[in-house]
Amino acid sequence: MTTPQRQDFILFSDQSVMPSELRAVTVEPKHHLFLITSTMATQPLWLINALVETCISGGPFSLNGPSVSLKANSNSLTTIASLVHEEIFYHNALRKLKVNANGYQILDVLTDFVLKNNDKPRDKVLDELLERFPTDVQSTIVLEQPELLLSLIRGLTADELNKKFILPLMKKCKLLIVASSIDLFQDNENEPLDSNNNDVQEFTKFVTSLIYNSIVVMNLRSLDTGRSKDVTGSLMISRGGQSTNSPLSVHVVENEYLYLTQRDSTRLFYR
Amino acid sequence: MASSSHNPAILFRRTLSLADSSGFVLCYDSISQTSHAVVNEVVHNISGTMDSNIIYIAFETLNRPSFATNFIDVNEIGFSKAIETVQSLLPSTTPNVRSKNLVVVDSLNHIALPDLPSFISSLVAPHVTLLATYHKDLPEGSPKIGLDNYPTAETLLQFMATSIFDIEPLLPSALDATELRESIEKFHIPRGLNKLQFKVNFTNRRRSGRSLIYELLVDTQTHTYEVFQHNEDENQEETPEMLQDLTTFNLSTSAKQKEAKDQVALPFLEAQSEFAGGTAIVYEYEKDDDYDEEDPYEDPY
Repeated sequence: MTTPQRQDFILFSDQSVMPSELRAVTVEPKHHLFLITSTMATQPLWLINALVETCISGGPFSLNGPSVSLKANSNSLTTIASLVHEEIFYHNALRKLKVNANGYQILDVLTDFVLKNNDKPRDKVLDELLERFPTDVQSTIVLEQPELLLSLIRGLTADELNKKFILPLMKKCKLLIVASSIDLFQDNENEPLDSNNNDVQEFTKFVTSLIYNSIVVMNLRSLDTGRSKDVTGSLMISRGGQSTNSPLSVHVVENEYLYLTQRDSTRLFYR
Repeated sequence: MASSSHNPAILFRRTLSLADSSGFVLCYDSISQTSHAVVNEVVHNISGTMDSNIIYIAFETLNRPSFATNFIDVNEIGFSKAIETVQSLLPSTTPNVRSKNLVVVDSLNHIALPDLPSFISSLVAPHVTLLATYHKDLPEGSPKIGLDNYPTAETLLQFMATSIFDIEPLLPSALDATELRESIEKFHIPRGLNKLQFKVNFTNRRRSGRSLIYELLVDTQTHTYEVFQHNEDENQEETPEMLQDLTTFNLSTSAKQKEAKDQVALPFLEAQSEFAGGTAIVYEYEKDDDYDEEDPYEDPY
């Protein structure tokens, strides 16, 4: 069997994952959102790691291989907050990629979240959560599965989550990378979805708002034809709602890659 | 269809440049094609012609657009304060004919249904144009207004708007409209959406209340607008070349044959000529008929 040619992961028209404008210090702070959507079968960890690596080391070396031309980005901090993984998980993953440990910090949002916040008002929970993130308008924040807050905080609506958490969080940094799982309420043939259900509506509203606010949407999904040994899934890069409004001079390069994850490494290639 | 005497593209350009006094321009958009390109197009059309005062009311936008004279972040100052601020920024009494006041809202989905009519009427004035976006695909929460038959926000806005831009993407070549809708419902955003060329279903409401609907193809790179052509292939005239080399039979018709074909009077035309002097239903009484004196269609009063 011939192995298909490895492809470089790029998001923008200047052949980069993170254009230099996104890393440059600007007078008037700008705020951007990247969205990763994934499913149970196609976990986005390798992609999150590659993006964190790009923020800190300058390029997605774990995907594209080493390159000398890319400069490390030392002046900004990357904060990773996850609602599904604990701190040590990311430490291990990033250590394997040899990412400089001074370049990032990890917030443990998950541990005892419900125990700590059970009887607090919704606004207070979100405010306290928000306070844990550092305010640095040049920094990057990675947030994994914030949609779980809709279930974890009693009575929280998508609008509240968006206005009181996501938008203020975007204002705290230059780039917010949100990874959301989108198969939580998916219509399937055996179990038709009740679209009038409140949970379904709030979830749809939340993800739709994220897409409206994002410049680029990276969708990970399994193949339509089912499972395969040499392909884990496909990565579709498409323009988000803000792409026609972005102040950046570069544009998003829409692309579809296939990827294969073996042990700790992931490889991208074309169909 | 509207009278052929006016050109939809010119009417569209006039609306975009705010030449007609249109109080409330509504942009319907979706994640497949957002309204930013249309807003930028309006700004492009009004800039250079006259001095304009553009106020941007942002519910979801964080980056201040370069064209905005004033940028109001509603999440920061609160909804009621935001309205006050906007009103203080708008010239109140003597409308200056030379300057345009444009209020851009992104987006109306974030205003509670009971506040929506008052919000719009508080901003629309003869010298102010409101250009507001409404996302079609965000599910609307149940209205908490206490009335069962209260209209939805979408209906309400459609009723109030003087012009509506219903923005649709040009379908990517690999997909049809149903496939596109299905994949977006699954949050799988296909490639080829949110482009700088798109389709606008443009509704223009006249003062009389009559509304005209046009489909336009908008290119925001070249700033050209043209009437959208549906399936060009279907309307194509048959040409002899189309039928050549399909089979060994001769399927094409020569000019002489065509002429002869056009000369043939078809039977239905023959039948029409019998009624040339107009038609009427004449009842003729026959011997088995049960004749009723009373006319069943007569007015009882």
